[in-house]
Order: sequence, then C-alpha cells, then structure tokens
Amino acid sequence: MSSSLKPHPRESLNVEDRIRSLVEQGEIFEARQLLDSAGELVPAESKIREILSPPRVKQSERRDVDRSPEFRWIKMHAASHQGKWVALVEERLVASSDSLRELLGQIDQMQFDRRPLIHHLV
Amino acid sequence: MLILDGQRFTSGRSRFLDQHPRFREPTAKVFVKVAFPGIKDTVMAQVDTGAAYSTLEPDVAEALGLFDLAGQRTRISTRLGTIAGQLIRIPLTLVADEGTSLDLDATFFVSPDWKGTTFLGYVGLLDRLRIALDSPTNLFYFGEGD
Repeated sequence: MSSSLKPHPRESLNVEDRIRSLVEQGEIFEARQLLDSAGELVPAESKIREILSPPRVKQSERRDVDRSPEFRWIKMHAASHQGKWVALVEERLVASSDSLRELLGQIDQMQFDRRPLIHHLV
Repeated sequence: MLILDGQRFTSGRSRFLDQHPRFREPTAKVFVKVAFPGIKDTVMAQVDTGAAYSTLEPDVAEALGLFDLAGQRTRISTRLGTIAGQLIRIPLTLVADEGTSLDLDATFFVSPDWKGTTFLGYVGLLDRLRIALDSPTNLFYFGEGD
C-alpha cells in the first residue's frame, strides 16, 4: 500500500470514536457493521477491533468426565440449595457457599478422586 | 465426532444439564461445561442462542480478577433495566467428555450489577461454532466452524 492510501490519523480516530460510542450505547451490532466497513481506518492493533472481533478457536487437550451423577444431584437438590455455589463429586455435595471465591477456598484444601464440578444454583 | 455429508461436523461432545420447568424459572435451560484459566475446576454456563452477548456472572469475574481490568465500557438493556459494564476478552475452554475440547478467546460482558448466570451468547461466540443437541440423551456436540 502506498503512503498516499494510508488513512489520515484524524479520520482513523473519528471512526474509532464512533465505534466506541456505539459500543458504549450498547449498539454492538451497529458497531460491528461500522467496523467491518471501516477497513484500515481502524488499525489492526486497535483495542476496539479486538473486542468486536470473532472468537479465536483452537483445539484443546483438556477433557472432563461424564457428569451425569452430579447433574442428578442438582436435579434432586437444587431447590433446597437455591442461591448457593456448590461443588459436587458424583452425587456428593463436597462444599457450598454464597460466594464462588469462598467455595474455591474451601475445595482448595480438599483431596478428590476426581475434581469437583462447580455450579451456581440460581 | 458427528459427520455431515461425509465431512466432520463437530469434534467434541459433553453431557449437558437441563433444568426443567418444575424449578423456579419457567423455561428449560441448557448448561454446558466450561473452564476458565484461574479456576481449576469445571463450571457450568448457560447456552443462550437468544442472547446478543456472552455474559460473565460477577462471582466468576471476581474470581478471575476481571473487575480490576479496564475494558471497553458498554451497557445492556435487560428486563430489569439498563446495566453498565465492560466488554472484556476472556479465554475459556468448552470442555468435552469425549472427543476434543475447544479453547476460545471471546468477548464477555462483565458487570458487578449483572444478576444472571454466565451465558454463552450467540453473537461473537456461538455464531463461530457448530453446535448440536441430542436432547433425549442430553448430549451437546460442538466443533469449530469453517
């Protein structure tokens, strides 16, 4: 690209500002449309471009186990633990708390055959 | 994992949790397993194809230290009123029981005033994935889109 085709810094700022303004007003769809049409007026390294860009996806080695036993516990006991964060290992409640941070602190001290599943019963 | 017209459609699957109308909310919901760097264990997030945003519930945001970050300010309109918050890019894993899990890097709405659960919304997250539900067996299939 020749230097004469590069966007003027002021023009670039204006488009970015308009996109930011749309985002601040909750007009995400419109912001994405404007970003798509802006091309190089919004630099590749722009924070707003990162925020509005599609997710990056790649394969992961992480794997969990079938949590059917934990789900059975939730279906049986959700109503009586409404509002709580719970940590479950199979059909066993190993910890519960009003806050996730506190729950994580509790289970951090424990040993498990398999790691707990965490769920918020809202 | 799932094949469509001879091509791989999805690469991983996991059992999902549905919540039935006998619970407080009047509609069924689909919760799938996700993991966030910074939280060792798997947590549940609701799949919501009707949600314009992915949202993170405040307790998760707090545990991940996200309230200390300066993201892009925004606001969303909910049935309980307008909520101010930030858009923050967050890494997460869509966790498989069988096949291949997916690492994602997606934008979430984060606000201490959000009262709901963690949602995986359509725009900017699910619209980049292939997903399928086998409801009678509660299996959630997912894979990377083209």
